[in-house]
Amino acid sequence: MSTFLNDLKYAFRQLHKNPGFAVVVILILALGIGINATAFTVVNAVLFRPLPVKDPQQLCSLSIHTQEQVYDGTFTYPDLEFFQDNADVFEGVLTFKSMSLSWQWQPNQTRKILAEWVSRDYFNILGVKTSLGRSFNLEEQSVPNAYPVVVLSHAFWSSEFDSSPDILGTDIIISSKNYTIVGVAEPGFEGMRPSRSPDLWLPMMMMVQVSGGALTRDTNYEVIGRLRREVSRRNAETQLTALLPELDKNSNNFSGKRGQGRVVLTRCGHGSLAGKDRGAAWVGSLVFLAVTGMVLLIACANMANLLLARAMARRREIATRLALGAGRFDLIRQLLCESLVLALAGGCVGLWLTHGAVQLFMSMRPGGVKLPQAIGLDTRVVVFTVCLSLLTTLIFGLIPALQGTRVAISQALKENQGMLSSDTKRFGVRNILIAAQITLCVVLLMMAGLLLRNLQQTMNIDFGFDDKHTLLVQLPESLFKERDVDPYSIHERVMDQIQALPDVEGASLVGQIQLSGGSLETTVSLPGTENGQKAITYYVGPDYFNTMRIGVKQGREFSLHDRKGQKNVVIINETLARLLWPNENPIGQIVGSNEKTFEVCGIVANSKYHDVRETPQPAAYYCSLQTGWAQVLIVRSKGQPVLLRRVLEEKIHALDPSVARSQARTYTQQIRGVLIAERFASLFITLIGAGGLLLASVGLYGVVSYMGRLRTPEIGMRVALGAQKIDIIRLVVRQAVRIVLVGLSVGMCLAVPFALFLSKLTPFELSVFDPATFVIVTSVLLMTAALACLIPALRAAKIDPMEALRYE
Amino acid sequence: MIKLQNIQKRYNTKAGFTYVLQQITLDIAEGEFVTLMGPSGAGKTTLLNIIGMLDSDWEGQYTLDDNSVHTLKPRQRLALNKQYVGFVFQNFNLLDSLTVYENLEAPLSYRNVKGAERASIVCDTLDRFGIVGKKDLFPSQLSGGQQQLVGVARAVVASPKLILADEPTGNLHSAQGQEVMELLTKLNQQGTTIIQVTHSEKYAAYSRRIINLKDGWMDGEVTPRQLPRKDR
Repeated sequence: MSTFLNDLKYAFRQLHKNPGFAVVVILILALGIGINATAFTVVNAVLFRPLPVKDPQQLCSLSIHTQEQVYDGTFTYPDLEFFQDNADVFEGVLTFKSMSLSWQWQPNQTRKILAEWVSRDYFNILGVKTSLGRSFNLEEQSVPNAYPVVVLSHAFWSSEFDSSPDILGTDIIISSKNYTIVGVAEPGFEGMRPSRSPDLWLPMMMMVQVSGGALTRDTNYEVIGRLRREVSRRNAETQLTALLPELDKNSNNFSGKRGQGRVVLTRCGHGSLAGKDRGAAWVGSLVFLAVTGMVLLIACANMANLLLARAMARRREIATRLALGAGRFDLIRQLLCESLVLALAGGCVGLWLTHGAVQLFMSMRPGGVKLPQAIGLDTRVVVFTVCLSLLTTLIFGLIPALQGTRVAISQALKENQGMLSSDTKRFGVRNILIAAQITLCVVLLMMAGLLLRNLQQTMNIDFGFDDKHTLLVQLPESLFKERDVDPYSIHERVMDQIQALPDVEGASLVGQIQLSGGSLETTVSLPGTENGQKAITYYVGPDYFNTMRIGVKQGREFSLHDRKGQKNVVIINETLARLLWPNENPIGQIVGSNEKTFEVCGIVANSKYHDVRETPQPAAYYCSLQTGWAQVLIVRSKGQPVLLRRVLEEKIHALDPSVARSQARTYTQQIRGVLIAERFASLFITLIGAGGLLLASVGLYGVVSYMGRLRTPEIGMRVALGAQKIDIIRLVVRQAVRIVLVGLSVGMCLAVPFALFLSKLTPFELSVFDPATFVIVTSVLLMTAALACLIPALRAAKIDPMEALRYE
Repeated sequence: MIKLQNIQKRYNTKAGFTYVLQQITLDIAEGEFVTLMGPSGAGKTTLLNIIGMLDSDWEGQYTLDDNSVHTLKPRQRLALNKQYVGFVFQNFNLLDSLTVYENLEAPLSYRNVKGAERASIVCDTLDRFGIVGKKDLFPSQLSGGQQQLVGVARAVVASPKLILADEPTGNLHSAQGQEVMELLTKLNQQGTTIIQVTHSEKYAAYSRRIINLKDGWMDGEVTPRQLPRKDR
């Protein structure tokens, strides 16, 4: 122990003696460690951080696996009640549903908030307390439509009500209904999905007031249970599986399919995501950490080079210690101890940088990226950073320690104090380290380049409709608040306002727009057949296909005559037409869907619905005048859509001036939003690649400078013999060029499998062999390398031969 | 104590072998004070390094007490070095980042001497060399003579049987040089075997045997009495 303490003391003393060196090393390490700790902080919040609830490890999400399908988050409210009444393995069972509702925060002023409808005993089961007032009582959670009460989140209470304790018992208006505030949740609790943290919670029994019969009709509830401590997960799964036949008997929705399945419980008390999102987040996190890990490796290689140079300069000290009886192990331990001090200092500064970087990251993240609101440092991040620091000690400290202590004692003792010894073998190690840095840079830059190209190519894909010159705007919710409102009257009201505008070329109302990031699916069946064809479903108004420039191949598009009370009609796309009637004319055919029949009145061209890269999918369009509400207005403008935006917003606002003004956005903006993951990944990897390139350039600069210093006498001699400046520059640059070319070639070779790997892991389809990316990356790298070499080469060319020879 | 037989060191160059030492055969008894002399490039320091086992790339037979050094592996030679040898260097080679106390402590810590014992030995040595007042100073804060004093103190702190001094007075002015030589003589009188390399016949006169080297060969042996009188 005392030996270690002595080593530590000497390490601090060494660094104190060379503050410049220590600061540079610590900063570079802090950058490498900071980037990685930032990445881990985000990953930790998304995947690992326990929810601030009682015993989060006991919370499990329930899914049913059958041979054909996985029923995950597809339960009905009666299913939930069944588990609440029968699943003895759980202390309690809950569900919740997020919904965007309007909150009237000022008279005649509303704005959107995120509310969460919660099932019976939600707060008790989670063990979440209130910091003010109470949570919902049993009656409020059992009697439908009787108790309009609300619990606010602590953040919402603080920001909107200035943490006033007087709000208890007062009413707030949510979706035009009065709700009484009964409590404020404890700080830190952001619901079960912190990536969509709600502003307030409402009892599920009140849901019927806002969304009609959704409570019993919906089939998309997640079931979460708190496992009893004495029951193992496996036993619980067995017991719950035994309940499935009874569950199936009570349910009409799944036609006996779930009774044959088995229950799988997944722990869900950690992280901010669930289900498919969590799976995708795992993949994204691995890529995220791999990319940042590369920067750390570049930083380590850089450090190893600096320490190697320092070890070379300390050869005589090392030789003296060996002559005094030190073993090589003693010296390796001491050098590693110095590296450890540097790495821990780098880790501390890195942790400090992480704090700021996380804030920056959160402020820069695009809106569509699902992350918790509160991401911060915790014990896990600190432990990760410490481990990372220890790892970096090994990576960047070991090579110089091993190399630096391998000295010929008698020779090193003879060396002049000021002179650095030229040792070609060790210099080889430095070259390898630089080449490795360049290799990693090339891989990063190639990934970034390929992602950017992929993004560019994706934006140029033919979507099957024309997104240019189109604007989207949400209609006020208040238009639909009346029960049994006729969609036709809304359509007329809106179109009266819009079609009079001179710049409008076409307009239509839709329920959900194409490429919005999600899509509905219904089964379209032929009369007399049981099994139908699943099709992506849209509810669109008259003139939709003209407005969207989707070609009508046969028949007609919807008109104002297709209203309630008239014959139900449907328009299908070419893929669905081919699947349902491969050899017949679909026009005039009857299909069934949602227990209704529809006549096919038109066939339209295929287009993109859910994903820009999808293969042609079957799709069915129902007329919104017959089937339901259409809340989004699509307008095609004759000129630039931005010119129409303001007047359009005003017209929509005029429909109900009491609600907040809706913001219009272009369809192109909407599609860019769908490509958020690609854009984010491209931007992130480009930034990381640029950082890596900067580090590698600094490393290259250092090596070329070092080479220049090492060859000072030789250069002096050459100048004395008549060498010109250009000869000296060529001499110094030549060796660097060799290193760069080796790094570049290896990097290019490695980039191909990396791109294939990235392509396989993520939804991004990277075209691995893209000549333009290869050329651009090569050029950027060569230019940066040239710059890094040129400065020391020019310095070498200015060497005064007299001085250089005296140095000799 | 030291038996060298046909010690030879050579470098393999493109032009063939270049010999640094050839056919060195030499016996040095325990308690002797021997000087190696000769012009630059004669191989004095190389021979000293071979005797000190810092150089392991040579041919011939070398016996140190009962240890056949030529049969030992480099690691075993360093272990033997630890056991027998203390070095004094021309350019002192004190460790810049360590204080005088720590410089003296270093050889003991490499020999796994326990902390308390180490402190006691270092304090004794500081006292013996009269440098207690300098113990917290760094080498850069000492004069050349003081640095070499610390160098000699460091060489003897682990009680070696053999002190190898490579031009110990090379960087000192005459008064300081004389002081160091008197110190070495005193150590020799206390039983330590000393081999020094020097160019100066004046300092060589402190030893009992002077071995001349020339172009890597042994070029005779004289006693101090046989040296010209002006240099003595």
